[in-house]
Amino acid sequence: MKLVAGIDIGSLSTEVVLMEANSNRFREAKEPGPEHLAAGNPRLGRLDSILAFSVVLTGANIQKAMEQALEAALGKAEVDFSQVEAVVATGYGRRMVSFAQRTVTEITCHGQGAHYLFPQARTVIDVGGQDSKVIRLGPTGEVVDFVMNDKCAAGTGRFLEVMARALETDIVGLHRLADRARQAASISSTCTVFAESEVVSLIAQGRSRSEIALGLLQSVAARIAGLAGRVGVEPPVVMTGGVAKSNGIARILGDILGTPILVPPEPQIVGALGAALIARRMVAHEETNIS
Amino acid sequence: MASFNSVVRNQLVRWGPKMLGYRFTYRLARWLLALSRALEPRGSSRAAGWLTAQAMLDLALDQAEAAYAQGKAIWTTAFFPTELVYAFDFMPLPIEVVAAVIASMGLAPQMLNQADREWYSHDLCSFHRCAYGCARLGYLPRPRAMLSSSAICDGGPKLFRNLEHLEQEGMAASTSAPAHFLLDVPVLTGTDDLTSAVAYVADQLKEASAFLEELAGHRLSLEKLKQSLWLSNQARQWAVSANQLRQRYPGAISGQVTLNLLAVVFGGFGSDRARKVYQTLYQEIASSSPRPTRESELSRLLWLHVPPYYPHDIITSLEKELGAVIAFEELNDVYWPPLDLERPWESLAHKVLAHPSYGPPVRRLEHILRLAEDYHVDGVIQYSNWGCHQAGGSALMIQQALREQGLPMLVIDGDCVDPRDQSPEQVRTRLESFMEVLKGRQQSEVSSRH
Repeated sequence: MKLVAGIDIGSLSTEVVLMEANSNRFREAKEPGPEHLAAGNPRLGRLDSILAFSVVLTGANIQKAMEQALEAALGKAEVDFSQVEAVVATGYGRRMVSFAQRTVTEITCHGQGAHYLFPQARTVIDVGGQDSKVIRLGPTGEVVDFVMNDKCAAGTGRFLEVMARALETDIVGLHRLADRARQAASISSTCTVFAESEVVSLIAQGRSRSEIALGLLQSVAARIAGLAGRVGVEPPVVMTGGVAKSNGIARILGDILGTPILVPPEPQIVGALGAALIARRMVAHEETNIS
Repeated sequence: MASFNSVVRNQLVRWGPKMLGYRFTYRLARWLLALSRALEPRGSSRAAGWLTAQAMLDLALDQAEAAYAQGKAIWTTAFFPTELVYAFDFMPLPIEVVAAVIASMGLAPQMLNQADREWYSHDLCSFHRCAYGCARLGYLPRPRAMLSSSAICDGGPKLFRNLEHLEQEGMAASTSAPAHFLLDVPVLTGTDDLTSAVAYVADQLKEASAFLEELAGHRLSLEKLKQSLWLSNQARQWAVSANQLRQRYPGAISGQVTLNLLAVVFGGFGSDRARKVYQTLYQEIASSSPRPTRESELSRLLWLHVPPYYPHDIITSLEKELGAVIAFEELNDVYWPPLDLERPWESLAHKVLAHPSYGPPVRRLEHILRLAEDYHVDGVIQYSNWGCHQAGGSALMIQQALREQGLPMLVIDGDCVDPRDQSPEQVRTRLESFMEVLKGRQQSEVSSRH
């Protein structure tokens, strides 16, 4: 069995997706129809065509993280690296992957991955560790336009991580807290450092953690919506990246943008999936040329 | 332990201004330049643009010598018509170009820190903050005077006003204040009367001339003014010819050279050096082996606004790794008609008022759309300097208009002078992603043709 791998080395986490190089096995996989999109049903992506995937923290040693992620994915699939025909790397550490045949930016990879999971998707919002991106897609999943956040951490996973820490929880816990809130505390600072102080002040004022959590999610969603406005939002909208693992932010963002946000079952691996899909096309292209 | 670079930088800061004060330094530098040209065998593998860069260096040496060794420098802002300054045998020193040079030597942070210490907000234009720090730390000798124009950029006049104020209040190191003359350029809308605006600016140019007469201690020679305008026209004509060649052979000269031509645009017109730069540029493009880029896979880019000036690999990676050429730069366009030697004041006023970036943003937009068409570009990049209203203010409008023409535009918000405000990896990702978009479009165009 010939395989392909997509590796996404982000600032926060590293993901590997393994797929069969030229299998037709999953052609029958059900694609989400308009009725599902209208209902905002996010759980119908074609993830079953993925052989195995892994997610590890990048940490300070990219090489180690990459090896760990690759080993984990190969172990889950019970296959050997020698079976991997092509590797495409993406993410900010993409150029560190010496054995990758090609490097492609995360913009293109998230576009490809999201299009594969939701072929109707026209806008992808990816909230990563240090970058937020809004990507406009054409009918075949090609990137038409994109915008990324500037140097500021506001509107990124890092912002939420710092705020979650201030509330003595993690990002998942932050969403859980927000779910319980009846009203949101207003967070006015976009600067991560100032917002952290603001959170501490709000706690001192006696505001509940859940109200603060909801306020933080709203603040991030507003920032992302502002970014999205630069390229325009055309539904259906798919949200990717680790932050989307909890539905809270997608729901708030959907309310602001006025359209439901589709979230795949494993939003964190969409970039690596896109890379694997590009690798698969490379293998197919090579085989066509040989034949 | 201090790195080699920081040791060199510290020594440069310590000894550089002192060395620049000796005329011998310039004689040596010019001799070395001439030697390097003589030793360079014809037809060698040097990159096209090398001679143009050398010609620009000649102008820079003249400016440095005038400032440090001759006391002939007049500080100007980017859009002041320098022809008038050359007519008095003074040397214009565009303050934004000074900041760019400081940044290219890796010295900007020190100057910016000084500006920060003196309440020059971090949110303001870093070109002017850097120049301010440079002046306050004494790395720039006092100019004979300061000439600014209110056209396009309002940071320059304010910088000069601040420096003038500090001197007048006795808060600066020197004793006599260099005077500042502000050229007030009216903003034209579509319905305004151009004739009265030209008359208004022309009158002020005459006042600027009287200001310089007092400084020089003699009347303006009309012959000298005509000569300056004639040289400006010569430079203009060579620039037009070079740009026409660039339309046919985009990428014949690296963007690393052509983007630096802005130093000549801002400070060279009216001098023979500028004529020489553009003539050399024309000859280098004509004699290089231009690649037929219009038919090749290379993507042609239009560069808007200015690039970063501290060491970076943006242009190199675009040209060497990502398959792009800088087809043209917005600020290198010759937008004004030839100057009329018999009507010097009105001609110069016309030139000032004709700048496409001045006035309603739609003027700049129309200019960009014309350049995109003339230079057959595939995409547009704007590097918006933080704190620059002119660059960032109309970005959305331009992006939308270009999108309607089917042209993708990448806007990078960054800093052109302060490397600390920039993440190279993030910029790299944006550039690569943008090039993937362009390549994807080119591939689908090719496949739709077959």
